[in-house]
Amino acid sequence: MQTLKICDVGLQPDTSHAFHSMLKIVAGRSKAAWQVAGIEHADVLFASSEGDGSTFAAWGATGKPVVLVIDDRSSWPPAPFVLRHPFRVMQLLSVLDDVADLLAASPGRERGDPSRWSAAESLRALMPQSGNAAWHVTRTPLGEEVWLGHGLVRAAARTIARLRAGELELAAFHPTGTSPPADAPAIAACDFAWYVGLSGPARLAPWLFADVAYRLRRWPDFGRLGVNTGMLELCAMSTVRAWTPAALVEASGQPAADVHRFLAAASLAGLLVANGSEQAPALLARGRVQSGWDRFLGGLRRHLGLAA
Amino acid sequence: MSGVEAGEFKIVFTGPMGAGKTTAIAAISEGEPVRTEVENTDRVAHAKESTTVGFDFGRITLADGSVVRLYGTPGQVRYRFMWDILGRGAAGVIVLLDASAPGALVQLDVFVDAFIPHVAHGALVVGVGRTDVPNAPSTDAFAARLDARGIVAPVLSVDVRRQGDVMMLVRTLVCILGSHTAHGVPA
Repeated sequence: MQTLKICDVGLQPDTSHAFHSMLKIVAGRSKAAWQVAGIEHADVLFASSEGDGSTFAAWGATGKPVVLVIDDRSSWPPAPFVLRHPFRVMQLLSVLDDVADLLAASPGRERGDPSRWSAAESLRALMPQSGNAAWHVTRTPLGEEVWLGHGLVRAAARTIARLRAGELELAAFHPTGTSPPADAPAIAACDFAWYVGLSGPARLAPWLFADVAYRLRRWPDFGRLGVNTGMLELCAMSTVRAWTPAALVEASGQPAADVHRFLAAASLAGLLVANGSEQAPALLARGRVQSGWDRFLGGLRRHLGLAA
Repeated sequence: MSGVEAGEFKIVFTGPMGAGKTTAIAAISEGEPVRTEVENTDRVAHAKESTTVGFDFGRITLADGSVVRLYGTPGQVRYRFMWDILGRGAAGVIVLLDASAPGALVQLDVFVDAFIPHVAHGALVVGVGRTDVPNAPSTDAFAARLDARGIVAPVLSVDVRRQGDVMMLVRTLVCILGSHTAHGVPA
Protein backbone atom coordinates (compact mmCIF):
# COMPACT_ATOMS: atom_id res chain seq x y z
CA MET A 1 0.00 0.00 0.00
CA GLN A 2 1.19 3.47 -0.87
CA THR A 3 2.10 5.63 2.13
CA LEU A 4 1.27 9.30 1.73
CA LYS A 5 2.08 12.19 4.02
CA ILE A 6 -0.42 14.93 4.67
CA CYS A 7 -0.04 18.26 6.42
CA ASP A 8 -2.90 20.39 7.72
CA VAL A 9 -2.47 24.15 7.85
CA GLY A 10 -4.71 27.06 8.77
CA LEU A 11 -7.65 24.99 9.99
CA GLN A 12 -9.89 26.12 12.83
CA PRO A 13 -9.27 24.06 15.99
CA ASP A 14 -12.51 22.08 15.67
CA THR A 15 -11.84 21.33 12.00
CA SER A 16 -8.29 20.26 12.75
CA HIS A 17 -9.49 18.05 15.60
CA ALA A 18 -12.11 16.44 13.36
CA PHE A 19 -9.56 15.89 10.61
CA HIS A 20 -7.07 14.12 12.89
CA SER A 21 -9.79 12.00 14.48
CA MET A 22 -11.17 10.96 11.10
CA LEU A 23 -7.70 10.11 9.79
CA LYS A 24 -7.50 7.46 12.48
CA ILE A 25 -10.92 6.14 11.49
CA VAL A 26 -10.07 5.86 7.80
CA ALA A 27 -6.82 3.99 8.55
CA GLY A 28 -7.13 0.57 6.95
CA ARG A 29 -10.11 1.65 4.85
CA SER A 30 -8.45 4.12 2.51
CA LYS A 31 -6.48 3.30 -0.62
CA ALA A 32 -3.29 4.73 0.90
CA ALA A 33 -1.79 4.76 4.37
CA TRP A 34 -1.93 8.36 5.53
CA GLN A 35 0.65 9.88 7.85
CA VAL A 36 0.61 13.37 9.29
CA ALA A 37 3.82 15.23 8.42
CA GLY A 38 5.36 18.68 8.43
CA ILE A 39 4.75 20.80 5.37
CA GLU A 40 8.27 20.28 4.01
CA HIS A 41 7.79 16.54 3.96
CA ALA A 42 4.14 16.27 2.96
CA ASP A 43 2.76 14.86 -0.27
CA VAL A 44 -0.60 16.54 0.22
CA LEU A 45 -1.69 19.78 1.87
CA PHE A 46 -4.96 19.85 3.80
CA ALA A 47 -5.70 23.53 4.15
CA SER A 48 -8.36 26.08 4.91
CA SER A 49 -9.32 28.17 1.92
CA GLU A 50 -8.90 31.16 4.24
CA GLY A 51 -5.27 30.26 4.85
CA ASP A 52 -2.11 32.25 4.32
CA GLY A 53 -1.62 33.15 0.66
CA SER A 54 2.16 32.81 0.78
CA THR A 55 1.82 29.23 1.99
CA PHE A 56 -0.42 28.42 -0.97
CA ALA A 57 1.98 30.13 -3.35
CA ALA A 58 4.96 28.17 -2.03
CA TRP A 59 2.99 24.93 -2.04
CA GLY A 60 1.70 25.57 -5.53
CA ALA A 61 5.28 25.71 -6.77
CA THR A 62 5.79 22.10 -5.67
CA GLY A 63 2.99 20.87 -7.94
CA LYS A 64 1.57 18.68 -5.18
CA PRO A 65 -2.18 18.40 -4.54
CA VAL A 66 -4.17 20.44 -2.05
CA VAL A 67 -7.39 19.49 -0.32
CA LEU A 68 -9.20 22.75 0.32
CA VAL A 69 -11.53 23.05 3.30
CA ILE A 70 -14.20 25.72 2.93
CA ASP A 71 -16.77 26.94 5.45
CA ASP A 72 -20.52 26.91 4.93
CA ARG A 73 -20.57 30.54 3.73
CA SER A 74 -18.01 30.10 0.95
CA SER A 75 -18.84 29.40 -2.64
CA TRP A 76 -17.44 26.20 -4.16
CA PRO A 77 -13.93 26.98 -5.51
CA PRO A 78 -12.66 25.72 -8.89
CA ALA A 79 -10.34 23.18 -7.27
CA PRO A 80 -10.21 19.39 -7.72
CA PHE A 81 -10.30 18.43 -4.03
CA VAL A 82 -12.68 20.36 -1.81
CA LEU A 83 -14.44 19.59 1.47
CA ARG A 84 -17.03 21.78 3.13
CA HIS A 85 -16.82 22.00 6.92
CA PRO A 86 -18.33 20.21 8.75
CA PHE A 87 -17.54 17.13 6.69
CA ARG A 88 -18.23 13.48 7.38
CA VAL A 89 -15.78 10.60 7.54
CA MET A 90 -16.95 9.12 4.24
CA GLN A 91 -16.50 12.46 2.52
CA LEU A 92 -12.94 12.72 3.80
CA LEU A 93 -12.27 9.11 2.78
CA SER A 94 -13.61 9.78 -0.71
CA VAL A 95 -11.41 12.84 -1.20
CA LEU A 96 -8.33 11.11 0.18
CA ASP A 97 -8.90 8.15 -2.14
CA ASP A 98 -9.22 10.51 -5.10
CA VAL A 99 -5.93 12.13 -4.13
CA ALA A 100 -4.28 8.72 -3.72
CA ASP A 101 -5.54 7.71 -7.18
CA LEU A 102 -4.09 10.87 -8.66
CA LEU A 103 -0.70 10.33 -7.06
CA ALA A 104 -0.64 6.65 -7.99
CA ALA A 105 -1.42 7.56 -11.60
CA SER A 106 1.20 10.30 -11.59
CA PRO A 107 4.42 8.67 -10.47
CA GLY A 108 6.14 11.96 -11.08
CA ARG A 109 4.50 13.22 -7.93
CA GLU A 110 5.63 10.36 -5.74
CA ARG A 111 8.51 10.36 -3.36
CA GLY A 112 10.46 8.57 -6.08
CA ASP A 113 10.05 11.49 -8.43
CA PRO A 114 13.30 11.97 -10.34
CA SER A 115 12.80 15.71 -10.18
CA ARG A 116 13.16 15.44 -6.42
CA TRP A 117 16.82 14.71 -7.05
CA SER A 118 17.28 18.18 -8.48
CA ALA A 119 18.99 19.59 -5.37
CA ALA A 120 21.15 16.49 -5.08
CA GLU A 121 22.08 16.57 -8.76
CA SER A 122 23.12 20.20 -8.56
CA LEU A 123 25.00 19.43 -5.36
CA ARG A 124 26.90 16.64 -7.10
CA ALA A 125 28.05 19.08 -9.72
CA LEU A 126 28.96 21.73 -7.17
CA MET A 127 30.60 19.66 -4.43
CA PRO A 128 34.01 19.43 -6.11
CA GLN A 129 34.05 23.22 -6.20
CA SER A 130 32.12 23.76 -2.98
CA GLY A 131 35.19 25.30 -1.38
CA ASN A 132 35.17 28.09 -3.95
CA ALA A 133 34.22 31.61 -3.04
CA ALA A 134 31.18 31.78 -5.34
CA TRP A 135 27.85 31.34 -3.61
CA HIS A 136 24.95 29.27 -4.89
CA VAL A 137 21.50 29.38 -3.44
CA THR A 138 18.30 27.36 -3.33
CA ARG A 139 15.00 27.67 -1.49
CA THR A 140 12.77 25.49 0.60
CA PRO A 141 9.09 25.18 -0.38
CA LEU A 142 8.39 27.91 2.18
CA GLY A 143 10.89 30.27 0.60
CA GLU A 144 13.71 29.92 3.11
CA GLU A 145 17.10 30.36 1.47
CA VAL A 146 19.92 27.81 1.70
CA TRP A 147 23.36 28.96 0.57
CA LEU A 148 26.28 26.83 -0.62
CA GLY A 149 29.84 28.13 -0.94
CA HIS A 150 33.20 28.40 0.80
CA GLY A 151 32.90 24.71 1.73
CA LEU A 152 29.87 25.55 3.85
CA VAL A 153 26.11 25.62 3.75
CA ARG A 154 24.43 28.53 5.48
CA ALA A 155 20.77 28.69 6.38
CA ALA A 156 18.51 29.62 9.25
CA ALA A 157 18.99 27.39 12.29
CA ARG A 158 15.46 25.99 12.02
CA THR A 159 16.04 25.18 8.34
CA ILE A 160 19.22 23.27 9.19
CA ALA A 161 17.39 21.46 11.98
CA ARG A 162 14.68 20.34 9.55
CA LEU A 163 17.29 19.26 7.06
CA ARG A 164 19.01 17.14 9.72
CA ALA A 165 15.63 15.56 10.44
CA GLY A 166 15.17 14.70 6.77
CA GLU A 167 12.18 17.01 6.46
CA LEU A 168 13.38 19.39 3.77
CA GLU A 169 12.92 19.13 0.07
CA LEU A 170 15.05 21.56 -1.89
CA ALA A 171 15.16 22.77 -5.48
CA ALA A 172 18.38 22.86 -7.48
CA PHE A 173 21.10 25.30 -6.47
CA HIS A 174 21.80 28.15 -8.83
CA PRO A 175 24.52 30.81 -8.90
CA THR A 176 23.91 34.09 -7.15
CA GLY A 177 25.79 37.33 -6.95
CA THR A 178 24.74 37.96 -3.38
CA SER A 179 25.96 36.50 -0.11
CA PRO A 180 24.18 34.98 2.88
CA PRO A 181 23.90 36.93 6.13
CA ALA A 182 27.29 36.77 7.84
CA ASP A 183 25.73 35.51 11.05
CA ALA A 184 23.71 32.73 9.39
CA PRO A 185 24.46 29.34 11.01
CA ALA A 186 26.70 27.12 8.91
CA ILE A 187 27.41 23.42 8.51
CA ALA A 188 30.09 21.74 6.40
CA ALA A 189 29.04 21.20 2.80
CA CYS A 190 29.86 17.49 3.03
CA ASP A 191 27.58 17.14 6.08
CA PHE A 192 24.84 18.94 4.17
CA ALA A 193 25.35 16.58 1.24
CA TRP A 194 24.89 13.62 3.59
CA TYR A 195 21.57 14.99 4.83
CA VAL A 196 20.36 15.72 1.30
CA GLY A 197 21.08 12.12 0.35
CA LEU A 198 19.19 10.78 3.35
CA SER A 199 16.25 13.06 2.52
CA GLY A 200 16.01 11.84 -1.05
CA PRO A 201 13.51 9.57 -2.76
CA ALA A 202 13.29 5.89 -1.89
CA ARG A 203 14.55 4.78 -5.26
CA LEU A 204 18.19 4.32 -6.15
CA ALA A 205 19.71 7.69 -7.02
CA PRO A 206 19.91 8.20 -10.78
CA TRP A 207 23.70 8.49 -10.75
CA LEU A 208 24.13 5.09 -9.05
CA PHE A 209 23.86 1.80 -10.91
CA ALA A 210 22.01 -1.31 -9.83
CA ASP A 211 24.66 -3.64 -11.25
CA VAL A 212 27.69 -1.88 -9.79
CA ALA A 213 29.16 -2.84 -6.42
CA TYR A 214 29.96 0.05 -4.09
CA ARG A 215 31.92 0.33 -0.90
CA LEU A 216 32.79 3.07 1.56
CA ARG A 217 36.24 4.55 1.25
CA ARG A 218 35.81 6.39 4.55
CA TRP A 219 33.32 6.41 7.41
CA PRO A 220 31.15 9.47 7.95
CA ASP A 221 31.65 11.25 11.26
CA PHE A 222 28.54 10.08 13.05
CA GLY A 223 29.53 12.12 16.06
CA ARG A 224 28.67 15.17 13.96
CA LEU A 225 25.95 13.75 11.75
CA GLY A 226 24.01 11.63 14.23
CA VAL A 227 23.43 7.97 13.59
CA ASN A 228 21.03 5.12 14.00
CA THR A 229 21.85 1.45 14.31
CA GLY A 230 20.87 0.65 10.74
CA MET A 231 23.29 3.22 9.40
CA LEU A 232 26.14 1.83 11.52
CA GLU A 233 25.46 -1.64 10.15
CA LEU A 234 25.44 -0.44 6.55
CA CYS A 235 28.69 1.44 7.02
CA ALA A 236 30.38 -1.51 8.69
CA MET A 237 29.27 -3.84 5.91
CA SER A 238 30.27 -1.42 3.18
CA THR A 239 33.80 -1.04 4.47
CA VAL A 240 34.33 -4.80 4.58
CA ARG A 241 33.54 -5.31 0.90
CA ALA A 242 31.73 -3.82 -2.06
CA TRP A 243 28.04 -4.59 -2.58
CA THR A 244 25.57 -3.99 -5.34
CA PRO A 245 22.56 -2.10 -3.97
CA ALA A 246 20.36 -5.20 -4.14
CA ALA A 247 22.98 -7.37 -2.42
CA LEU A 248 23.33 -4.82 0.35
CA VAL A 249 19.57 -4.79 0.85
CA GLU A 250 19.49 -8.57 1.05
CA ALA A 251 22.54 -9.00 3.28
CA SER A 252 21.60 -6.21 5.69
CA GLY A 253 17.91 -7.08 5.89
CA GLN A 254 17.14 -3.37 5.85
CA PRO A 255 14.43 -1.73 3.73
CA ALA A 256 15.54 -0.94 0.20
CA ALA A 257 14.59 2.71 0.70
CA ASP A 258 16.96 3.02 3.67
CA VAL A 259 19.79 1.37 1.76
CA HIS A 260 19.21 3.54 -1.29
CA ARG A 261 19.22 6.70 0.81
CA PHE A 262 22.37 5.56 2.60
CA LEU A 263 24.10 5.03 -0.75
CA ALA A 264 22.91 8.41 -2.02
CA ALA A 265 24.14 10.13 1.14
CA ALA A 266 27.52 8.42 1.07
CA SER A 267 27.88 9.18 -2.62
CA LEU A 268 26.99 12.86 -2.28
CA ALA A 269 29.35 13.22 0.68
CA GLY A 270 32.17 11.75 -1.42
CA LEU A 271 32.54 8.63 0.72
CA LEU A 272 31.39 6.00 -1.77
CA VAL A 273 33.50 4.38 -4.46
CA ALA A 274 32.66 1.87 -7.13
CA ASN A 275 34.34 -1.47 -6.66
CA GLY A 276 37.86 -1.68 -7.97
CA SER A 277 38.48 2.02 -8.32
CA GLU A 278 40.72 2.06 -5.26
CA GLN A 279 42.84 -0.46 -3.40
CA ALA A 280 41.17 -2.66 -0.83
CA PRO A 281 41.47 -1.39 2.74
CA ALA A 282 44.43 -2.67 4.69
CA LEU A 283 42.23 -3.85 7.52
CA LEU A 284 40.43 -6.38 5.36
CA ALA A 285 41.66 -9.93 4.98
CA ARG A 286 42.30 -10.42 8.64
CA GLY A 287 41.02 -12.95 11.12
CA ARG A 288 38.79 -15.90 10.49
CA VAL A 289 35.53 -16.52 12.29
CA GLN A 290 36.37 -18.25 15.54
CA SER A 291 34.63 -20.77 17.71
CA GLY A 292 32.15 -19.16 20.11
CA TRP A 293 32.59 -15.78 18.50
CA ASP A 294 29.16 -15.56 16.90
CA ARG A 295 27.36 -16.46 20.10
CA PHE A 296 29.34 -14.02 22.16
CA LEU A 297 28.99 -11.25 19.62
CA GLY A 298 25.24 -11.85 19.47
CA GLY A 299 25.00 -11.43 23.24
CA LEU A 300 27.03 -8.25 23.14
CA ARG A 301 24.95 -6.85 20.30
CA ARG A 302 21.76 -7.48 22.24
CA HIS A 303 23.29 -5.82 25.29
CA LEU A 304 24.11 -2.74 23.21
CA GLY A 305 20.69 -2.57 21.63
CA LEU A 306 21.89 -3.74 18.22
CA ALA A 307 20.05 -6.42 16.25
CA ALA A 308 21.47 -9.79 17.28
CA MET B 1 45.30 -16.90 20.35
CA SER B 2 42.35 -14.54 20.22
CA GLY B 3 40.72 -13.19 23.33
CA VAL B 4 37.52 -15.10 22.66
CA GLU B 5 39.33 -18.40 22.30
CA ALA B 6 40.91 -17.69 25.66
CA GLY B 7 37.47 -17.11 27.18
CA GLU B 8 37.97 -13.38 27.30
CA PHE B 9 36.49 -10.56 25.25
CA LYS B 10 38.57 -7.47 25.61
CA ILE B 11 38.09 -3.93 24.38
CA VAL B 12 41.04 -1.63 24.85
CA PHE B 13 40.77 2.12 25.19
CA THR B 14 44.01 3.82 24.35
CA GLY B 15 45.37 7.24 23.45
CA PRO B 16 47.61 9.91 24.88
CA MET B 17 47.40 11.34 28.37
CA GLY B 18 44.31 13.49 28.89
CA ALA B 19 42.33 12.05 25.97
CA GLY B 20 39.62 10.69 28.27
CA LYS B 21 40.26 6.95 28.50
CA THR B 22 39.52 6.73 32.22
CA THR B 23 36.39 8.86 31.78
CA ALA B 24 35.18 6.74 28.86
CA ILE B 25 35.52 3.47 30.76
CA ALA B 26 33.81 4.95 33.79
CA ALA B 27 30.93 6.08 31.54
CA ILE B 28 29.97 2.56 30.49
CA SER B 29 31.45 0.18 33.07
CA GLU B 30 29.29 -1.62 35.59
CA GLY B 31 30.10 -0.23 38.98
CA GLU B 32 33.22 1.70 39.75
CA PRO B 33 36.12 0.83 37.44
CA VAL B 34 39.51 -0.12 38.87
CA ARG B 35 41.95 2.72 38.43
CA THR B 36 45.68 3.02 38.86
CA GLU B 37 46.07 6.75 38.88
CA VAL B 38 48.84 8.67 40.57
CA GLU B 39 49.70 12.33 40.76
CA ASN B 40 50.69 13.64 37.35
CA THR B 41 54.31 14.73 37.45
CA ASP B 42 54.45 15.43 33.71
CA ARG B 43 52.61 18.75 33.59
CA VAL B 44 54.38 19.59 30.33
CA ALA B 45 52.52 16.80 28.55
CA HIS B 46 49.21 17.56 30.23
CA ALA B 47 48.05 19.79 33.06
CA LYS B 48 45.65 17.33 34.68
CA GLU B 49 46.06 16.42 38.35
CA SER B 50 46.44 12.66 38.02
CA THR B 51 47.29 10.12 35.35
CA THR B 52 47.01 6.39 34.79
CA VAL B 53 50.27 4.51 35.28
CA GLY B 54 49.07 0.89 35.20
CA PHE B 55 45.71 0.47 33.56
CA ASP B 56 42.02 1.16 34.07
CA PHE B 57 39.68 -1.77 34.19
CA GLY B 58 35.92 -1.94 33.79
CA ARG B 59 33.47 -4.63 32.80
CA ILE B 60 30.12 -5.24 31.12
CA THR B 61 28.28 -8.45 31.98
CA LEU B 62 26.03 -9.88 29.28
CA ALA B 63 22.74 -11.70 29.82
CA ASP B 64 24.38 -15.13 29.55
CA GLY B 65 26.93 -14.22 32.21
CA SER B 66 29.84 -13.72 29.87
CA VAL B 67 31.90 -10.62 30.44
CA VAL B 68 33.32 -7.89 28.24
CA ARG B 69 36.46 -6.49 29.79
CA LEU B 70 37.31 -2.87 29.22
CA TYR B 71 40.93 -1.89 29.61
CA GLY B 72 42.35 1.60 29.54
CA THR B 73 46.04 1.93 28.81
CA PRO B 74 48.41 4.48 30.29
CA GLY B 75 48.87 7.32 27.83
CA GLN B 76 52.54 8.08 28.21
CA VAL B 77 54.96 6.47 25.77
CA ARG B 78 57.27 5.48 28.63
CA TYR B 79 54.62 2.95 29.64
CA ARG B 80 54.53 1.45 26.17
CA PHE B 81 55.36 -1.98 27.51
CA MET B 82 51.87 -1.91 29.05
CA TRP B 83 50.33 -1.21 25.64
CA ASP B 84 51.62 -4.51 24.31
CA ILE B 85 50.48 -6.40 27.38
CA LEU B 86 46.99 -4.92 27.30
CA GLY B 87 46.62 -4.99 23.53
CA ARG B 88 47.37 -8.68 23.23
CA GLY B 89 44.21 -10.62 22.36
CA ALA B 90 42.03 -7.51 22.13
CA ALA B 91 38.83 -7.95 20.13
CA GLY B 92 38.90 -4.28 19.29
CA VAL B 93 40.67 -1.06 20.10
CA ILE B 94 39.23 2.41 20.61
CA VAL B 95 41.80 5.17 20.19
CA LEU B 96 40.85 8.39 21.95
CA LEU B 97 42.49 11.67 20.97
CA ASP B 98 42.20 15.30 21.97
CA ALA B 99 42.13 17.35 18.77
CA SER B 100 43.22 20.49 20.62
CA ALA B 101 46.40 18.86 21.94
CA PRO B 102 49.69 19.66 20.18
CA GLY B 103 50.62 16.96 17.70
CA ALA B 104 47.24 15.24 17.83
CA LEU B 105 47.61 13.91 14.29
CA VAL B 106 51.00 12.43 15.08
CA GLN B 107 49.52 10.83 18.20
CA LEU B 108 47.06 9.04 15.94
CA ASP B 109 49.96 7.41 14.11
CA VAL B 110 51.67 6.44 17.35
CA PHE B 111 48.67 4.62 18.76
CA VAL B 112 47.52 3.06 15.49
CA ASP B 113 51.04 1.71 14.94
CA ALA B 114 51.13 0.31 18.44
CA PHE B 115 47.74 -1.41 18.40
CA ILE B 116 47.01 -2.45 14.81
CA PRO B 117 49.10 -5.62 15.23
CA HIS B 118 46.87 -6.65 18.12
CA VAL B 119 43.51 -6.11 16.43
CA ALA B 120 42.50 -9.55 15.26
CA HIS B 121 39.37 -8.55 13.34
CA GLY B 122 40.41 -5.17 12.10
CA ALA B 123 38.19 -3.51 14.65
CA LEU B 124 39.64 -0.10 15.29
CA VAL B 125 37.61 2.99 16.09
CA VAL B 126 38.99 6.48 16.64
CA GLY B 127 37.16 8.95 18.89
CA VAL B 128 38.31 12.55 18.71
CA GLY B 129 37.38 15.10 21.34
CA ARG B 130 37.47 18.90 21.36
CA THR B 131 37.26 19.28 17.59
CA ASP B 132 35.38 22.52 18.20
CA VAL B 133 38.45 24.27 19.64
CA PRO B 134 39.70 26.93 17.20
CA ASN B 135 42.51 25.68 14.94
CA ALA B 136 42.11 22.08 16.13
CA PRO B 137 42.22 19.59 13.25
CA SER B 138 38.84 18.28 12.14
CA THR B 139 37.89 14.61 12.15
CA ASP B 140 38.38 14.77 8.38
CA ALA B 141 42.07 15.49 8.94
CA PHE B 142 42.39 12.41 11.16
CA ALA B 143 40.47 10.31 8.64
CA ALA B 144 42.70 11.54 5.82
CA ARG B 145 45.69 10.47 7.87
CA LEU B 146 44.29 6.95 8.03
CA ASP B 147 43.35 7.09 4.33
CA ALA B 148 46.95 7.79 3.46
CA ARG B 149 47.92 4.54 5.18
CA GLY B 150 45.16 2.54 3.51
CA ILE B 151 43.27 2.11 6.78
CA VAL B 152 39.50 2.39 6.72
CA ALA B 153 38.37 2.98 10.28
CA PRO B 154 35.69 5.26 11.67
CA VAL B 155 36.83 8.59 13.07
CA LEU B 156 34.06 10.01 15.21
CA SER B 157 33.91 13.30 17.07
CA VAL B 158 32.97 12.58 20.67
CA ASP B 159 32.71 13.99 24.13
CA VAL B 160 33.66 11.05 26.33
CA ARG B 161 31.95 12.66 29.31
CA ARG B 162 28.71 11.71 27.56
CA GLN B 163 27.79 8.08 27.98
CA GLY B 164 25.93 8.13 24.67
CA ASP B 165 29.09 9.11 22.81
CA VAL B 166 31.10 6.33 24.43
CA MET B 167 28.34 3.85 23.63
CA MET B 168 28.42 5.04 20.02
CA LEU B 169 32.11 4.15 19.88
CA VAL B 170 31.48 0.70 21.34
CA ARG B 171 28.46 0.05 19.09
CA THR B 172 30.51 1.05 16.07
CA LEU B 173 33.26 -1.31 17.12
CA VAL B 174 30.82 -4.17 17.59
CA CYS B 175 29.20 -3.51 14.21
CA ILE B 176 32.63 -3.75 12.59
CA LEU B 177 33.34 -7.00 14.41
CA GLY B 178 29.99 -8.38 13.29
CA SER B 179 30.55 -7.40 9.68
CA HIS B 180 34.00 -8.88 9.54
CA THR B 181 32.65 -12.07 11.05
CA ALA B 182 29.68 -12.33 8.71
CA HIS B 183 31.03 -10.79 5.53
CA GLY B 184 34.80 -10.44 5.92
CA VAL B 185 37.37 -11.97 3.70
CA PRO B 186 39.14 -14.87 5.38
CA ALA B 187 42.89 -14.52 5.62
